[in-house]
Amino acid sequence: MNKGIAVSATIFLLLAAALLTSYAMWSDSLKINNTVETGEVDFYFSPGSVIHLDQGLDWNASYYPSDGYVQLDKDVGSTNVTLLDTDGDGDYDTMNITMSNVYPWYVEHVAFKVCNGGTIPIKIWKVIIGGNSYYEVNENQAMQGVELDLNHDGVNDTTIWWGDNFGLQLHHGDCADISMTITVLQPAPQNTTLSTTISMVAVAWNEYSPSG
Amino acid sequence: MHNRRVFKHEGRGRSLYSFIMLLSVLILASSLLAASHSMWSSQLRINSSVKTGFFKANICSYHVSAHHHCGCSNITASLSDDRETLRIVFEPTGSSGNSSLHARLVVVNNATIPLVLTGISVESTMPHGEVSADYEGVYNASMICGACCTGCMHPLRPASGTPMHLDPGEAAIIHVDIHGIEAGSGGEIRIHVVSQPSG
Repeated sequence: MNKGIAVSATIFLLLAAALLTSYAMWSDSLKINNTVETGEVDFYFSPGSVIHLDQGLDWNASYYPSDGYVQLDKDVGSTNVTLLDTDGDGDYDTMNITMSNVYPWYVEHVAFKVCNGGTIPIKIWKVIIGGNSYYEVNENQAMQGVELDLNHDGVNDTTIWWGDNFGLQLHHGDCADISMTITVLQPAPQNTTLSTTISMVAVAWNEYSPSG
Repeated sequence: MHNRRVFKHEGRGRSLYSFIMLLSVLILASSLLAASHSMWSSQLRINSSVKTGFFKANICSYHVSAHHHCGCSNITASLSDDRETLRIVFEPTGSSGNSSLHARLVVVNNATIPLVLTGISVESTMPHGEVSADYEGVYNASMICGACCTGCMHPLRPASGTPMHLDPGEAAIIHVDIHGIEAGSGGEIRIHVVSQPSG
């Protein structure tokens, strides 16, 4: 009995040794450590770059819908432009344009710079005015702009003309000049505030498509 | 009967399986679609607020006098609620002959933007002849309509040409003459000041 147990134990140990030997082959291994650090798509309003037309005597859109303004002899309306950092990331992401005590054909032209503050090259993709996206400057719109009915009374009361630079590629630190014009139209109601928000969107340069 | 019930359950199982598969495919497809549209982007906002002003020409004060052919008509004058119209009522007296009327209106720009007095409109229930309107000049409204009486007006600048521009706070005196009014049976004349924004 003891002999049988001894034989069985010996056979078991031999098998175990053989098995372990088969797994202890000489080997080597390589490791690939993969770290993906993504960049950032970010652009901002350049501080100090904002200029606007009405610094005193008002300007009149005398040639509307064609381009060109005439300075009047009175300082009646006024425009204030401020930049805000609404998300607290250290750059300006919002521009507030406030026009006060204005009247039909009062016109304001605002010029500013936007800069690439991210690490990925960007292209200015589109601007959203009155809920509609514009990917390029239409020749007619360049002349006449986008007419809006901001108080929803069925007639257009404001025109926003947008400058170009759609599709312009900006590398880190590069800036682009952009301008826009706001004209008060004749049907604008008296003693009323007409508000709208314009959004300007830039995308990574490699995903840019001029048609959206 | 029992077999039918078993078949019904199998049919439901297959339907549920198909439904789950379809739902999964839809969710996967929508995820892929959403991923393809979630491009890296950066967005700037421009908030535009356009606060319009208003213009309003009011008749600040008035004086009306009538000259009658036979001197026997009485008149009363009053302003409309919006102070843009002067209402003159001739009381019927049964007299005959024509009258003429002179109204002196002080019109002020009580608004926030300059305006132009483009004219005077006259409505009358009585036949009348020639209507003429003229103005004296542009005055500081506070001198005319404030605590001071109408006798202490001082012109700020000479009136020149037409149309007449009034900046906010400025006023002007307009003289309206209506001749050949057949006032014997009474009636009403409305003098309305017409204005529009300047510029």
